[in-house]
Amino acid sequence: MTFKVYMDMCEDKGWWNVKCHACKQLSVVFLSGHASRNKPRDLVLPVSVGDSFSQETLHKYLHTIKLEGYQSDSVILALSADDGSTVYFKVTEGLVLPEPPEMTDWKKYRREERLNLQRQHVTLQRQQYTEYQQKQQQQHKQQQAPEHSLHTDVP
Amino acid sequence: MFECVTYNRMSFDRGKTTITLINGQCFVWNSKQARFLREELRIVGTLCGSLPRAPMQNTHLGLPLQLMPEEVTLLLEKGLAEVVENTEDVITEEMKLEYKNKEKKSYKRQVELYTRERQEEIKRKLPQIIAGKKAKRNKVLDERRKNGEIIDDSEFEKEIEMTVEDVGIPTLQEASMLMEIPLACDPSTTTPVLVKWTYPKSDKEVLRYRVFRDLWDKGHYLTSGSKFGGDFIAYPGDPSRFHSLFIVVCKPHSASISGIELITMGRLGTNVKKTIVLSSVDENDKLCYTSLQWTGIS
Repeated sequence: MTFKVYMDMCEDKGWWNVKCHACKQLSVVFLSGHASRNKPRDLVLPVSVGDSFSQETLHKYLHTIKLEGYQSDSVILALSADDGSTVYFKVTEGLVLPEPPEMTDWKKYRREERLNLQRQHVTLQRQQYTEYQQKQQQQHKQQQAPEHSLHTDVP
Repeated sequence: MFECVTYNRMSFDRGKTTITLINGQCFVWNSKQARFLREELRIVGTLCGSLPRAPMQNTHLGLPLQLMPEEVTLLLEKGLAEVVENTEDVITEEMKLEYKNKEKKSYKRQVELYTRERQEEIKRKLPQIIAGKKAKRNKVLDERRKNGEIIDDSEFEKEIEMTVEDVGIPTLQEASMLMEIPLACDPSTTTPVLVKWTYPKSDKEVLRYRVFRDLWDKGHYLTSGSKFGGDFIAYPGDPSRFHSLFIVVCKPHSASISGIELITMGRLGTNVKKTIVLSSVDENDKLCYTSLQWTGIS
């Protein structure tokens, strides 16, 4: 399960510097990584969707899952199902204000921009490939054509 | 001569808010008290009555203000309110007679006012009424002309003389008379009796009240959370001016929450741009809150 989450984070979500750690007190393995280059390190605890939690256990996680020399007041629960799909929820102690709507709108805009860039990249690649193919075909034809003229010269 | 506004005995006397217990629910009927609760004490409640001038809609509701049991307990603890139940007095024959007389007087007065109002309206609309009558008459003359009759043009121009009295006013039926329904309970037929308030009792209620009190002390405005599937909704300011920020879910500290439930709550919170706050009391009798947010990784 931890491996599935690890793969998901690295390949699908594209996190940076994902590392594996062990917490002896709870005998669990947890991961840590950056969502992007500029974001601070987040601690991710893989759990199964079928597990049940209580506020007691959540608080235990918050207090015992720590990295040396790193202060973090939240843990991300990576709830993963049998098929590998994972949902990430951040658990924090205390009252945390939700993101203001300006932030969510801006993030949405950023995400759209990124998708557009990807699409552009793909179309550019496709273009380049078709050009390359055409060039190959032309070269092939040129090679065949001189051979043909040799034959016709001889009466 | 000017009218001098006096407060009657049932109104706000800066002492205690009167909370009426009806069928197990608590209501505040007095508008000044309801305003005081909201403006000074951050107790919001829910308006659940219809507005007398706009009864056929429920976008805007009016008095009475229904209070949550937690709000009532808070007010009682602070000594700012009292809970009463109205008991019906025995209705005597003379009370019935008095009521019938009041009704008759009201009817007579309503007929007077109605007639006067209609007369004013007719006076204002008299030119239009005359124009309408003229047009009708001219139409009839036109028909007669078409049928071959010879009518002089001057007939069309003739003015119609009419006065306000000529227009008939229908009589006001007794069955369609307006009845007054007093907002604060009619003191003449009921007696308020103080009620012993016993909320909270069960563990769940105790936890809910504890959380409510703590959040209220922190300065939030709290209302019932049933619209968002939680126990309470917390606003940073008056609910009519702000969106709420937290959906508070009260659960015992060691009660198990399945992973699916966590996902449900988390998704709900993200979709409505609020943080889910799981609240409970831990072993050391301390209130602890856990916020649940979606990380936005997709």
